[in-house]
Amino acid sequence: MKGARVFIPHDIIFNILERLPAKSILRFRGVCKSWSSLISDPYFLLCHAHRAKPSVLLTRYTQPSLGLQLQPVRCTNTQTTTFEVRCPCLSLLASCDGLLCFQGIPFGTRRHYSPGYYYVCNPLTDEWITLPEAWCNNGFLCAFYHHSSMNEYRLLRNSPYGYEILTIGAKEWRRITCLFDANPSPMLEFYVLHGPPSLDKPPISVHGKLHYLPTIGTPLIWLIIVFDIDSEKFGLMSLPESCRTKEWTIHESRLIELEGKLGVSTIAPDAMLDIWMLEDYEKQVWVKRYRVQTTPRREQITWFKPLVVHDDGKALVDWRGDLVLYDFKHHTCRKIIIEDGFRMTNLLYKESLIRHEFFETGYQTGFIINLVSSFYLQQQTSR
Amino acid sequence: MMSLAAQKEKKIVLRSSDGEEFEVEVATARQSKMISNMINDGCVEGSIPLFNVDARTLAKVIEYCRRHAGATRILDEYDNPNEEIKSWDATYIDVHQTILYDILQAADYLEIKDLLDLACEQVANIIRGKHVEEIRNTFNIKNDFTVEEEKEIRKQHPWLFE
Repeated sequence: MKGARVFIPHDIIFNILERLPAKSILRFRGVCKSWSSLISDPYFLLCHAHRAKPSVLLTRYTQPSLGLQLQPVRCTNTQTTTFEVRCPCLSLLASCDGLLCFQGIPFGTRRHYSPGYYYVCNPLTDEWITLPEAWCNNGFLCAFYHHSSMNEYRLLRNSPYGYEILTIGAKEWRRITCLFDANPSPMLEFYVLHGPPSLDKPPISVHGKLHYLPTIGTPLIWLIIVFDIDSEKFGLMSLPESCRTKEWTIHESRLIELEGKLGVSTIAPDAMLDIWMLEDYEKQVWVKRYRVQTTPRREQITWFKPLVVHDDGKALVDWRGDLVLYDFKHHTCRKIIIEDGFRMTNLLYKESLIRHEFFETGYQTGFIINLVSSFYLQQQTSR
Repeated sequence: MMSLAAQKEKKIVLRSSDGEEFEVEVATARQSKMISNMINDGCVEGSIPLFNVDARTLAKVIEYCRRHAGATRILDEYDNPNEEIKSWDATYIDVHQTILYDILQAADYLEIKDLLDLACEQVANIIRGKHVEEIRNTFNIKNDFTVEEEKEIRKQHPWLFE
């Protein structure tokens, strides 16, 4: 190939490289020493990670090894890369930015009665940490989130003994002793104590708080439950007045992140799906951002579950179990053909090569993650 | 103090490194932060010599600035940059690599941030799938790794070099 022989200043190289997918970045460390040091620079890795757009994770168990293949699907770029976790019996529970949280029984242990350990890994760099055991095996994970001012990744868990939190890299789980500010309403107490957040609908993290819809109780309650990441206390928030309808219930709604703000999908009386955005968090000003107009049949609208909505109005939607690329502005939709055996998850993944100290200090296991293939996702116009 | 209308009509002359002169509107010239600063400082009498930009590149850059001078504020109903400009940009930047790298350097020198981002994005799209050797060729980079160091890098992520 005849190259355009040019000399490009360092800051422009930075600008170009931060736009590349992680796979290219890792490969280009081999270009020369100055590129290699640029690419290892924590500031560069931070900028690169901030540019990453969320993708929806597809998973598939390999036979007969029972390893797990992961395939992120993006709105914009149809080219995706498949990763493989070559460790049997691990189940993928949660994701946060570029980190994945697994649960499973570690190699070489005979503790089959235990529900297994939690692990956190960065699939791109093949870095792993085994997390300390929780206080009580009989519990489940509620959320995997980032504490931005402390720059820590944390897990929130619920067990019969209450809520507990683990900072990734810390030695042990710590219980939350005080769940509320003074005098919580009985309703808040009921929801927090009996209906913890579930990873079926992963809580949405914006404004330093986790948000989730009630998982139990009467479906006509139009409330969002809020967990303050910093103070570690629960609270309530109301949904927009105008989105409340008699015809539909809260169970048909979903929370999403929209342009860095909190969004919620609700169904209007005319069976249109509206996406609301919390424009002003402090003043609780909700605005209607998008409408879905192309639903063919009234009953099908409840099957329309937005997973990722980009700033340009393009979205990945779970529609009747199919993964669909929907354009909220032009109201077009394309079905994304999923490769054989892959299953859609509700987990969002953002490529990140950021180095985490906990991977260096924490106990690492010798799992091998391998990039098995890279292929072009077939897409077809379905309408 | 010049009136706004007078400023609008006033033209600025840019001289390329190979001596060609281009007359442009103030709004177009102001797309460049460097020239905009010069206008604010009142040092644009006569023509502005641009030592690092040749005539071919300058013509291309002016084409961009002219299109964007009247359009930067146009946003669609969802506050996103409008589709028309986006598709115009895509056609504009779809040029031969030699011109692309000239635009890249001119945009950097003239401090036209949007154009620089557009060009960087295009370069990124071109090089994302390339091999290390091709990258060295394109950017005129000398391989300064020893054989052992290169082996070590390949060992860390062998799948990247397949």
